[in-house]
Amino acid sequence: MKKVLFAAIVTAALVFQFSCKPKGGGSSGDENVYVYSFARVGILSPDDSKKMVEKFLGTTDTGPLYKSAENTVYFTSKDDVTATFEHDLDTGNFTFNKGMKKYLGDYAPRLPSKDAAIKATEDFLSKNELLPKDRSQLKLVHFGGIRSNSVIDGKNAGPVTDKLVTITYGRVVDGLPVIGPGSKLVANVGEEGELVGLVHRWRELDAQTKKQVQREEMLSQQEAEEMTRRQIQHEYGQDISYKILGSGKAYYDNNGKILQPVYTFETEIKLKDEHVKPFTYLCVIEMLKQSPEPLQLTAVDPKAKELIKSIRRGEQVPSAPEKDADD
Amino acid sequence: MKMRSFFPVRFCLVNLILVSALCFLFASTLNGGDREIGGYVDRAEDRFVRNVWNFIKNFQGFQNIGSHRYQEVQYFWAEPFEFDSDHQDFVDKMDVAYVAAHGSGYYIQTNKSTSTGVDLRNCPAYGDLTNSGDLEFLIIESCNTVASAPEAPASGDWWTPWTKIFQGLHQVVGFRTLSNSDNGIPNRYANKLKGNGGVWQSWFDAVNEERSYSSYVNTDGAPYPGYASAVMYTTTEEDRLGSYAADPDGGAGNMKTWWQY
Repeated sequence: MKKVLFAAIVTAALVFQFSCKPKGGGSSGDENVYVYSFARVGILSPDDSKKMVEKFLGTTDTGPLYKSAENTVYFTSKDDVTATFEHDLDTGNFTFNKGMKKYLGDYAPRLPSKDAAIKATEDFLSKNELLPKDRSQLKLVHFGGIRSNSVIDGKNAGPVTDKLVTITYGRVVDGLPVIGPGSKLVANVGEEGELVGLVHRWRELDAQTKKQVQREEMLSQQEAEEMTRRQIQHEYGQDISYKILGSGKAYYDNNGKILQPVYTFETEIKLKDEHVKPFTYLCVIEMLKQSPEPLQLTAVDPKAKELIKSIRRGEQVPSAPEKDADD
Repeated sequence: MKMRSFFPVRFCLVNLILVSALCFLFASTLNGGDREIGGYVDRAEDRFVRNVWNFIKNFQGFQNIGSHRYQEVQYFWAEPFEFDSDHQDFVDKMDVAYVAAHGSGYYIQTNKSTSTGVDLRNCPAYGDLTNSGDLEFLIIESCNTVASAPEAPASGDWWTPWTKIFQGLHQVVGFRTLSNSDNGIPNRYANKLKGNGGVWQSWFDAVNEERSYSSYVNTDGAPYPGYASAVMYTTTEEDRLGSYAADPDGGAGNMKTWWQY
């Protein structure tokens, strides 16, 4: 009986250790973490964007560019919906697609091998001075692509066509992964290694601003785990079951002014709706007790809840009020 | 006699002037290029509110895109009847519908606590052709709903489940795998569309821009935030909100799917 009890305790301890092991290239060890500022980007204007359109898309016929509330300008060619450019005037981050009109329809491009696609991408980045200064921060994190399939004669599937290869690079800082909307390079590679599109979200870190986070300034792993439990209960309510699959540390690039450390918890959520399969929820908890740039990842705009309407079947649908354009 | 002939002419002229003035006034408030956008939220986590809001907040008031102008006119908690029995008053009254929900293949949850939802395979035809609908573009930010070719049975038939709702509908866009929401996708997607980008191409770009370094992959193997997919016709694959092709004929002919892997 004692042996059985001992075996059960050992098994439980191993299961617990496994269930909380760090994943994701992160770590739950005692490595130091830091707060970095991003190197300042000079003042950018839509004219700078137009120069980049000319450089990467080869056109000067841009017309006026649409500018979003987030100070990002957008261009789409009037002749080719797949030729696009966008430029964040605050961060300098940009995305372009040179145009994949010829890749539409049934066209089957001769795509490069994985190695050739990576070489083509890195050659392009190097030639255009888009590679990070510290190459060790660049990490290939995904190799995939885009495919299409059409129905022939309304009855049969045509061939599956590989249209583009997609290569995603992430960022590693202090041995930790960088997550969030910034710090990535995503390349679409087409016919014989032609770089068709690029997402360039990469700003250099200002090494002089590197500031070590002191123990008393940060949440402990346990506190973060407790916040995760509370966040899940707040978001999903009581009528679900969940388990934490893994946890770790990472940096978060929110396209703001700083790069800050976070805890990440990968959880699996199970709803009682049998139509919905269990799914993964990545819970990000700020590591700093007092972040100079709070992430507010789960904040809800009060208007979002104020304006949403309930309606029952058969009720008169409220007519839409005429609204003033906000921009 | 003169008077008799004079009065009708004068009467016609007055009528003509009045009718012309009314037409002018009417035309100045309505625009042939006006388009409607609706947002529908699964009554579940707050993140679905954030997802839909972050899309439709960009269409508060008319926004000019190419030769059309778009405005959000419906923002509702999702209900099954908005997609099936009363679709002509809800999603199918819109030109663009944005839905955020839990999902599975072809399924959109509308209420988590009651486990209620709709299966798009059982929904009526959307679009202008058969049911006096209007929907051109259905955007579904959910797990798995937009099943594509890799999700098809061994026969390879991915299109039959979609043909019922495609009767004038141009594109359905979403995820074919598990997906992680509550991120920058809806806002960025809205702005790409306002910049007159392609409907499915902008979605694929917005998803790619969210992919970041993490060895956390979803339990189905798809990396954060999941793999995008879209179903359309060969004639509608270059559609954008500012200008799009004539309504497709519906059915399976020329149907096409694009997906990420």
